[in-house]
Amino acid sequence: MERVAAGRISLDLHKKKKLSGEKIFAYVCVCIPIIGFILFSLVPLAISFISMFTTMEYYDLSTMTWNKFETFKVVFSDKDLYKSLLVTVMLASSQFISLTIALFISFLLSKKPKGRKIFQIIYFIPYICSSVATAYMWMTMFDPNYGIINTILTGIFGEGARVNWSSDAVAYVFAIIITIVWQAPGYGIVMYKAAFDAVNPSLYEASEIDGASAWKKFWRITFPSIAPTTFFLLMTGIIAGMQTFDIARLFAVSFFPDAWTGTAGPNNIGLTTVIYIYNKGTLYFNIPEASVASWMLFIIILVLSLVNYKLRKRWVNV
Amino acid sequence: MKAFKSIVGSSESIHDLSPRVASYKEVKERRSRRTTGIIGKIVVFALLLLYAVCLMLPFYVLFVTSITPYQELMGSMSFIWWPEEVTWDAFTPFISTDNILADDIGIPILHGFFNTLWSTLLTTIVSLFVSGLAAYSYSKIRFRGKEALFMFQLATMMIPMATMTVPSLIWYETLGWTHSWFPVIIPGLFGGATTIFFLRSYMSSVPNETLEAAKIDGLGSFRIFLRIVLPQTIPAFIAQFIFAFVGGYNNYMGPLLYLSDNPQNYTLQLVVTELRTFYNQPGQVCASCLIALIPLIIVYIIFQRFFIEGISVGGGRE
Repeated sequence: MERVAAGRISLDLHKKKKLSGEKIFAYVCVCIPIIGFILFSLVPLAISFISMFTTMEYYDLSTMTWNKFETFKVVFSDKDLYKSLLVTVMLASSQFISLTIALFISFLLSKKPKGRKIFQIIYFIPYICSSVATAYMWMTMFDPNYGIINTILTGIFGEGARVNWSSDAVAYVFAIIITIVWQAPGYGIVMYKAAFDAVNPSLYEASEIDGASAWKKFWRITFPSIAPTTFFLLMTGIIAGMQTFDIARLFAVSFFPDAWTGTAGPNNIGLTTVIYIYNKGTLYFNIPEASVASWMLFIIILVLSLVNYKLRKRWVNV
Repeated sequence: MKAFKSIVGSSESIHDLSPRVASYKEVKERRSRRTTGIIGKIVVFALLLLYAVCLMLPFYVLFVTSITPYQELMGSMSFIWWPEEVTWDAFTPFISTDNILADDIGIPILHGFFNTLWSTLLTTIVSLFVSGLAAYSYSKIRFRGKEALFMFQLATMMIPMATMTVPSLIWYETLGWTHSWFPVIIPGLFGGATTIFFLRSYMSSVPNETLEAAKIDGLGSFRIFLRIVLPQTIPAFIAQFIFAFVGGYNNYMGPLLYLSDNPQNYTLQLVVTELRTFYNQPGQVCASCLIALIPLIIVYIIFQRFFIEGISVGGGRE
């Protein structure tokens, strides 16, 4: 940047011919992702936006006819939509449990126990498991008869503790949450490890000399330095949780017999918003209604991301 | 009282450092502190071990259920920790041509694995390359409108396109792409905003002087990227590759929407879910999950250092 003026002139002269070629190269490279975004994000966004105000047969764009907000009336008077939002928020809030586990475990790991490396390797394994395998393995474990969970429960609390995980609505939600919580903390543990490692050790030494208790050390030194990570994990976790589909749908399809009707679990208790959208779009071939629900979720998540971005910027600057 | 304690505390820590004959009381105190330290260590280790066992338990259940005969499983009212008679029959439909879809796909797991591998590698590598080129242009080349384009690219990160997966169906239907690989592969070839953002911040560490020198030597921009920038930022590329590869390997919703009507196009996850409907027996389900999980877990254990580093480097930056 701060080159001597004479040198700069000579360099510029040298570059003059190549400059345009370099710029064209840059424009091409930069435009490819933007073209992709326009073709496969903006265009579908626009189509689904328009489709909200129309009636459409099957997936045929040429059959679109203006219907004076009729789709909105239908969707927003559908009780299932509100129920699905509630279910989604419930499942997304399992992120708090995952985060607590991740924080606790990485706090223990920061004490540098024996076998720390092996523990770290093990803790991350669930995170890379596919949702298909994860859902199926937990369904096997939740089987009312030969499932290990009921075996452990009845072993401790007696035969009365046998839970029918697939037909009891409350148990069904717990089953999904347990499955999600099994998988989720791995990411948090890795992220927290980096945060714990980044804490300046001289702060601890200083506080030890001052005779601070372990509890005080945690709240005064460790916590402030891992707070940004916590916030980041919480927000990204909730944003991902609002889009819960895979595990909830796999449970609905395979764990519950009436799945072909689009019912997700007993009393439709496993119906997340994305499953609601998926049913509207693929089971009833109703893209306009699916679009209305999609746009609602879109706006909710957009607001969450913006809040995340703004607050994070403030936190990092502080 | 508090002040007194803190004085005692600080004097103690000074005494710890100074070579001085310790009094009986001090020796006793120090010894008790050491034993609580050992107990603490054991507690930490035990808790970590307990968590590891909880996380690994589902894999044991998968394995045992897959080797237990169907009759024994169905007749049981509790979990079978080890079967009376071990059978490997549950694995045969997946690893041999002795299955219901053999005419279409031969050995299902191999077929699914091959489909998953080529589609994931193609999108991951092309997308990474395209993102890398864009990141290089944003980071190292000066051109008009760069700031505006970058802000636009950054803004695309905020858009939760995942909520639009179902409404996007009509766009692909209009293009005539449904029931084909195109909707799963083509949108992924244009690079991703998050990847560009991450690679760009990583590339800023490549010294400009090296690039200037290469330019004077007459190297074109593409060659500079290939020969200088790419080799120097390879850890960032590996991190992003791992992210994308695991995501592609485990992808469920995309193949479910577009590929589930033709056995020829089954990905690994679809093989597992679709064959479940044919062989609705716990042994087979567990066997297929196990076969689908093992390759990625082996890859993870071999390259776990890259996984964990990649995540803690890549995730923290959003």
